[in-house]
Amino acid sequence: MYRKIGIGLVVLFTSLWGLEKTYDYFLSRNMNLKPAYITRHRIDADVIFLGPCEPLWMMDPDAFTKVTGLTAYNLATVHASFAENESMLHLYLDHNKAPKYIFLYVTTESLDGAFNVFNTYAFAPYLNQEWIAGRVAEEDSVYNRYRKLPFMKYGFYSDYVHFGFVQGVRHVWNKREEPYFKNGYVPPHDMVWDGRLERFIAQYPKGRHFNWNARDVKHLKAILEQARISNIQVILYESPMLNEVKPYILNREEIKQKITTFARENQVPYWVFDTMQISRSRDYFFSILNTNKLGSDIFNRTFAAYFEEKKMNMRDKTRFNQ
Amino acid sequence: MPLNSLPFLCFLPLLWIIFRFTPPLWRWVVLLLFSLLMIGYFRPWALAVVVCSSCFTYTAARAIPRKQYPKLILCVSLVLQGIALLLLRYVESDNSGLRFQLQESGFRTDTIFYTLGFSFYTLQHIGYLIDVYYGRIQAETNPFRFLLFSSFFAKFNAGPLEQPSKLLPQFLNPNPVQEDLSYGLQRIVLGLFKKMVLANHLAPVVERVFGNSGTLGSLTVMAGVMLFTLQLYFDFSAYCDLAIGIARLFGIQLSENFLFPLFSDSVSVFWRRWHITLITWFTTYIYYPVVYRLRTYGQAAVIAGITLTFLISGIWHGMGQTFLIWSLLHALYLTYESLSKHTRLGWAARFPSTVYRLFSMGLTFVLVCFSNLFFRAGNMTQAQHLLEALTQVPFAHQGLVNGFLAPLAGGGYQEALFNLGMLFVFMLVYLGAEKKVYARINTGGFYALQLFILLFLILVTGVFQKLDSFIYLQF
Repeated sequence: MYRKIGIGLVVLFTSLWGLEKTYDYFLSRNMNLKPAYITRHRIDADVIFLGPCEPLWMMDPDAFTKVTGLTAYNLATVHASFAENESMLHLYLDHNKAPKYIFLYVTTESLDGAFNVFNTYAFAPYLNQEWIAGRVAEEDSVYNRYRKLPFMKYGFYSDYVHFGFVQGVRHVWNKREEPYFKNGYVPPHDMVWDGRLERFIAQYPKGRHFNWNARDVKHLKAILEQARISNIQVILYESPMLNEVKPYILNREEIKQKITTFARENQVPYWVFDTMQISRSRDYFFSILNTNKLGSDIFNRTFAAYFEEKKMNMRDKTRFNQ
Repeated sequence: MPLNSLPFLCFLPLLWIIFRFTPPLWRWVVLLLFSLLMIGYFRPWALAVVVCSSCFTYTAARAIPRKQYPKLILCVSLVLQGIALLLLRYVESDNSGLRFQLQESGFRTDTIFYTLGFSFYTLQHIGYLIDVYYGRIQAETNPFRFLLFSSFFAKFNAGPLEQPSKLLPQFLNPNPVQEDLSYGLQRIVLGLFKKMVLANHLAPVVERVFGNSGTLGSLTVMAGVMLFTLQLYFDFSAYCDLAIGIARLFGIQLSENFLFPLFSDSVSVFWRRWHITLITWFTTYIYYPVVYRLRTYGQAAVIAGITLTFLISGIWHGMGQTFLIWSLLHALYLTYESLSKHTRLGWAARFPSTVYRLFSMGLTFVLVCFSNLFFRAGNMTQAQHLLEALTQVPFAHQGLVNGFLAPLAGGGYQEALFNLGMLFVFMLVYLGAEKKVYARINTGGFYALQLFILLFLILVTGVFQKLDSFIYLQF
């Protein structure tokens, strides 16, 4: 029995080690995963959209380019916290020319700490990079404790990597070099109303106070610092939010004021689009903070036009005023 | 500390080495100290309660044969333990409001009450006192050994419920041989597989259905309720595999709690295969005495026995109305089976045996799943929503993928559907091979290939978060 256990353990660990290397290879070649795409291809966009799912499903780089003439890429990822935004930006800047502008999505929800997370598994193939490993250790200490065991850097969040691996195998097999969504924007074509507003109201019938999460603020500052070093103009913005939910965000004005103060202190503009007409109707939304295709198209045109207008009104030719 | 937590599993080999190097006569002391450490380190209150409860039961059991009024001692002890159990259930119940009052007074009620194992060892204590009273066993003379019987770490949190006559003698001289090690290891790995690969993957799928029942089609709710039954089985039987496997490493044989219940062809067979030790306890200490007392009433005695047994079982699980309905449904099923025995034998003779058996298995599974709708629903409002959803259109007007699969998978994306598909494949393959897997382990042989395939699957596809969330720990 002991001999069998010994041999079995050796075979097990060897196969797990081999599997880990295989996953490293194929996940970093799955072009649908943004970390893989931005580290294997030069995008060198003039403008980067950064943030969680709201910009991912709302900010169309092609629509922006059409109006402004600037090349753009959507670097946003689902449920991403500012720590993840910072890590994505770090990977991007390591392999690409620094953009001129970064549009960073900031709202009451994204600063609360309870709604967005650091999706550790997205960075698993890049843990050999010291900076990424450090950020992962800081953001996910439990994962970091086990990740050095064979395959555990993928096994720990296995639900999130197997499909990516299979897709990576397909991409290598088909010699595919472009992602499905080439400019990073995921158009919300078939999105139907997700009922999140109803669930939110059911959970907080008297409304909810949102937090000013120090950890998120720290990473937001780090993004600004990273951008400052690379001479990138960061513009904080808030996209339209469905008006129906606003009465339930009890301290929305207070948090908005804090963001305004934060932006002023850090000398970056803060653009708020929550008074746009589309905020009044569910016809333009599939969720509280996410516009549908119709809403996104309207917002993209408005946003790009606003950018053009602001650019024209610049006093300082290198920096925006607030 | 849960039995499947990595710190525990890493510490287990060290404990085993200490155990092996201790003289056999003193090994039970090692088990006792570790058991108390396991309970007390994380839940000091739980340690205090188990020590007090064990002292009380030990003293009462010792007094029963010696004192003048054994029946009085027995009755007082049983009433006190029963009240304690009811009080615990009442405080835990969301409706009582007492929990909130305690919380407001600064008590950490989660620490005091939850995962205490109280309801499990209290039943064992009650059974022990009755057995001593009727002279079926002799009262244990060593209070510390009795404390080990109550607090043995492998079974403390959620059973199996052990008969004192079976477990106490094993503590005298535990001496595991190589066969025990091989058996224990294989059961532990099998338990980890069921918990981390099957049950933990099913948990979010079930939660999506029970958490959003108002917006789902009837087929999705039906699937969710069935998947909950599978989750409950994988989760609890995984816990039992771990408990049995870990105890066996130390030469202690715990009772089996499950015997392929999902393949039962009647509800009465189901209850002979599901949570066996609990139902054995209820049968021994409630059902048989009631039926014996009322034996002159014939079939009515059986119905009364079944109903009372399941009512008490429902209360043991929780004070809510949903548990009451769950228990009454099972009482109803069993009463019907008891009354229709001859009719069903007649039907069985009319159909080919395989067809009849498959139909019976399917029907039993559906009936059990329906009762589990109430078992899982947090309250009557949720149960009502689920029942209403069962009457809705099958796919909630959105087609098979968006209306049925996507709500189960957590979205209609390829990744979510891929993960759901993978889970279904694992479940079907496992259920198909389950009897063979257990048969192999039970031969006493060491099946290295099977063991390492399971280990490989755990490490590659297991869920490593929320490890401590065994469903039955809440009871």
